[in-house]
This record gives sequence, C-alpha cells and structure tokens, in this order.
Amino acid sequence: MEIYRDGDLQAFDLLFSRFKDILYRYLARQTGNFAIAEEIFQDTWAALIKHRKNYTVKAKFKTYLFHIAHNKLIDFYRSKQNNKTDIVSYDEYQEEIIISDEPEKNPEHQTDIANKYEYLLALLDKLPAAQRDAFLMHEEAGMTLIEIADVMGVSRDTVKSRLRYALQRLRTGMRRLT
Amino acid sequence: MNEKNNISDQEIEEYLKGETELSATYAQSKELKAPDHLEFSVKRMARDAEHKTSSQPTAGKDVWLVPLSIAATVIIAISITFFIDFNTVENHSLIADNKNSSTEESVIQEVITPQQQTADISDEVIIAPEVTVEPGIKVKAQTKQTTAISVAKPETHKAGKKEQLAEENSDFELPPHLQAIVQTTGAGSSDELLPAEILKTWTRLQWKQQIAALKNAGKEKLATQYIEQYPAYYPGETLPK
Repeated sequence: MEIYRDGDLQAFDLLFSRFKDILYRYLARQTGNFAIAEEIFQDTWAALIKHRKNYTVKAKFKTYLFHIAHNKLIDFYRSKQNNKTDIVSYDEYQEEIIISDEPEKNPEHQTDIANKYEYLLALLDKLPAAQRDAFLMHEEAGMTLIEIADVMGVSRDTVKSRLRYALQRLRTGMRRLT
Repeated sequence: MNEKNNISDQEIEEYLKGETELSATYAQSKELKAPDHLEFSVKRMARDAEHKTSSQPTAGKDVWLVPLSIAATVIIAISITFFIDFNTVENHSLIADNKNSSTEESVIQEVITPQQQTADISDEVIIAPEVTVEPGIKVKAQTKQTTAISVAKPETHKAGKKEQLAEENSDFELPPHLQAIVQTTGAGSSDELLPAEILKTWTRLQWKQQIAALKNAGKEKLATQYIEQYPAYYPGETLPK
C-alpha cells in the first residue's frame, strides 16, 4: 500500500487482485444482496483510492481495507434504518435466532438445500449483522479477535462474545441438518 | 436449551485456529469471485485518480513553480527600481562636479531636519513646474527627487556632512541655471522685504534662491534681512550669511 501511495499503480493492481474476492464475498455474505455488495465494494475501493495519500502504516493492509468496508456497511445499515425498512439494526445481536427448534416442522427447507455449505450460508444469513460480521472477518480475511475488534471499534471481549453467539447458532443449525 | 453455554473458550480458540468442521464447510463457499466488471471499474478509478494527481500543479516539484516565479519577479522589479535610483544619484553627482559649484540639493538636505522631510517632498512637487523652462532644469528636477529619497539615509551620515557643508556654504553662490529661475520668477527684483503673506508660502529653496539672487545682485543688506527673517518661518533653522 505504501508503494501504491507513492504512485505505483502496479502495486494497486497487486493489492486489488489479492483482496478483491475476499472483500466481495465478505460484503455479499454480509448484505445478502449482490447488487448492494457490488455498490459497497466499489465505494470501499474508491475511498481507499481517494485517501491513499494519507495512508500510514498502523496495521495490516487487510485491517485497513476491512475497516473502510465495515464503515461503509454501517452507513448502509443506517441508511436502511432511516428509510424505515425491515432490516435490523447492526448492533442487535441479542435477538432470537430465526431458526426453528423443531427441524421436522421444516422438512422442505432441508431438502431444498443440497449442500451443507449452502445450508450454512442460509444460517449465516439469519444471524444478526454484528455476529455475522465477526464470523465473516475471521473466515474470509483470517483476522484475529484483536484485528476484528480494531475494525469494529469494540473491545476484544465484545468480539469474542459475538463470535460465541454466532458459532452457537451455526452449530445448532448444522446439527439439525444432520 | 441454553445455547450460551455450548461454546467454551477452548472451542473458540480451536475455531480461531481453523480446526473446526464449520470452517471447513464454509470454505466450500469460497468459489464466489468478484465480477470482472467490478475489477475493471475499480482499476479505472485508480488510474483516473492517479492521472488527476499527476496533472495537478501541486504534484511534486511543480508546487514551487508559481510562488518561485512571483518571488523572482518581485526581486527583479525591486532591483531595477533601486538601480535606476542609484544611477540618478550618480548622474547628479557628475553634473554637479562638472559645474564646479556647490550642490544646492546638498544644502537643502543638510539644513532641513528629519521632522521636515515629509513636507519637503511635497515642496519638490510644487517647484518642479518652474524648472521646465531651461535645459539644465531637467537635471535639477531629477535631483529634487533624489533629495527626497536620500532623506532616508542614516542620521549619522548627515551629521558629519553638515559641518563640511557649513563651511562650503560660507561662499554660497547661486548656480547660473538657478539664477535664470530666480529672474524668471521675479525673485530678488524688489529692494524691500516681501510681505509676510508671500514669505510664509515660500519653501526653503525659494528662500535660498531669493537670498542668493540678492547677494548676486549686490544687495547684501537685503539678503541679510531675509536671512534674519528665515527662522521666523522655519523655527530652529538658520541660513548661512
């Protein structure tokens, strides 16, 4: 990133190639909408390009990139709230998970999902945004608790708590599949 | 069922190490890639931004071009101005030496006090039209400006020269070109002191012209009267007899 900051476009191409898919998947899974994901994806890179001259090395590049993306996501959630849509608040992670405790009442759902990972994605989509965010940052970018906390602007314990809830719900849902 | 107690800290640590079935399952979903059109648009944004930056004058060393040009222009303009003034002073000195006469401008400069310098500058403006009569006057007009400018010289320089000029002024005579001015304006033609209404409008130069003209005409007594009257109009100043 420092090389790109000094005007080397090849350095940018390298960074983009390395992180484009990771970031795109993170945004797609987080928003559940490819069109919105593409919009935030472009906004994120545009912000990085715009502020490249102010870049200083404080953390890994991926932390910097995901910090921008996370802020764009927060803006997205806020705009949705302002528009009075039914999307839940980003921080409402204590809400009840929308997965039935009785899997036999939902058999068609299981048969429609052929693969485990598709079922996992469906479960992921049902998680509160903050929990999903923590899970995706670790899965996609391999970030540690501290790095995720840095991006989210919360404490390490808060991230750990969100991750714990996310894992509980995902595991519970996956057990029902089997 | 209490889900909160299902995941221990150890299990979270294992998960963070990527050693869980959940992570393995999620990894299968990583076939999703960013669309090509996004790659194209983002890279174009990066190139456009870099192109804009490089074309702006604030980029790199170009940022100094405008202020450097302005500073150079100002310095050259000031240098030329001072060079012209310096040449004017030099020319005046040469002319004065050639005529082998005491420099009237020096007398003016040495007699006046620093407090009266501002008034003298305006005096020169009034006198200037008179001197357009003869060729030699043009030189004089230039020297008036020089006198006005040279009053900014340090006081120590003037103090030493005052004594020297006091001796020179003992045999002060009006240069020929000034005599012509005096005759033109009628100065020295009267045998009596002019009325106070007229005298109070006179500049120092006019006083000196009048006195010199009277001396030149052999009217020493009347010239002395003018010299005696001079302090009444310019308190604290005297003229050499």
